[in-house]
Amino acid sequence: MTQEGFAQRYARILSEYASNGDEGILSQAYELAREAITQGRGLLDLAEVHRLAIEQPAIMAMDQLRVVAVLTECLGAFEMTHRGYREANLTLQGLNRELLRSNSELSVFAHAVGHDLQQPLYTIDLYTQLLGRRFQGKLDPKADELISRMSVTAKHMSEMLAGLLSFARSGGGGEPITRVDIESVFDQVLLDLAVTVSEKNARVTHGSLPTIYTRRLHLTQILQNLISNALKFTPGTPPIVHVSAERGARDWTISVADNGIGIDPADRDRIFKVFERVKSEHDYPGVGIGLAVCRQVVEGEGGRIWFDSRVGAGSTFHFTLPVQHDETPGPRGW
Amino acid sequence: LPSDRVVTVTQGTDINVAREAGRALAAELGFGASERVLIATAISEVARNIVEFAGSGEVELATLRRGTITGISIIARDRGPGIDDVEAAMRDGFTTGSGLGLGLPGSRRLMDEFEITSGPGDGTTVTMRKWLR
Repeated sequence: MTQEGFAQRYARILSEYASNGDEGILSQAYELAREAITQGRGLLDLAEVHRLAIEQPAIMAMDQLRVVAVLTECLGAFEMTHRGYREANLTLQGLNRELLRSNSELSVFAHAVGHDLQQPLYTIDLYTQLLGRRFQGKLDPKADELISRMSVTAKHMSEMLAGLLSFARSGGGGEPITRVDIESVFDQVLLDLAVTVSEKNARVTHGSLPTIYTRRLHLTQILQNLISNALKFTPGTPPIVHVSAERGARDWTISVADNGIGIDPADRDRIFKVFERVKSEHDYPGVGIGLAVCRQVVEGEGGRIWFDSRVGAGSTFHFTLPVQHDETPGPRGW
Repeated sequence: LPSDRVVTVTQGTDINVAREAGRALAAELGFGASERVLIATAISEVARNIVEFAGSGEVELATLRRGTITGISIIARDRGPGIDDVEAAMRDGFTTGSGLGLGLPGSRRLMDEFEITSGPGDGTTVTMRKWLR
């Protein structure tokens, strides 16, 4: 039913009811409103068809109480759904409070794990180093190596805990959605990665990057991880990284392309998991948490993350962020 | 005497008869114009369920007295296939798809009291009451 069809049917019902006052016609008015509601029409659509109908001189001359009865009948259907939304809203508010509480408990827990375990680990590392220094060359050579491995492992665990902390923070939300210029986020990330970029003689470029509605910190976190990975996994040749964005019907797709080593299709599922590493830590240092953070953040925003890649020919990571309502023309009638 | 009535419902036009009877009784009992619209709306929803899911049934309209308070009772009964999962049927959008707040949960919100009993093979009875205040 188009808005025009809605207006025509409403005007016909109005004039019929005004001339005979039949309950069946009133029932039709109700059914018409019900249909309009299931199509997503709002009260202002109803107001519009009512105004168009009463502009006709024939209807203006009719019994005004009956004209009001038809409008009221339609409003009854809207009142019914309005009460539904009000109740649903209360339920959602309750669920949301529960969710926030459970989220904050979880984040406190993750923070405690990440933070409180750092201190004893630091102490273990310290004693290991003392042990190494004190007994270097006095035990057999095997013992020296074991002590040095212990220290390396303790440092690695400390990095993993730091990663866990940042992972816990990425789920925190809290930051409001604002207008964010993707290009300015890109500039900031590049500034943070300036040392690596110059060391590797990398060229990091971007296409046209729009201003969108999103959470700036989250977008920064995603781009930082993806660009830093792109630089890391391009050994030998200078890295060439390109960031682009494309608007779809319901979301933005942002892509980060590189000329790096590429990803084996067999690793497709593992690559986004926490602490999963696809390449040896010796060749590519890191704790294996970056893409897990990206996925958590992207999915938390209601988006998706995936990649296209050919081994040896580079990878392109894509992620989507939903277009917010403020970015689109309002739904009809409102 | 207020006109209590039982309306047999088998087709769309019977819904109008039930609505009209409900509206008339509500007017006699002293319900205001807006409340009469809400009562007719709730009758539409339950009567429409009878036509759509059971094929035939009845809507009983009666006067209620509780102490000094007057109310209207609307009972929709059918001997249709019944509802497997009443709780699910009372959730928004279960039978009405995109129309949040229509159907049975919609009628519940328009009335003061709402009860539904149903089971596979037993038919369905919806009892709704609205009090005059």
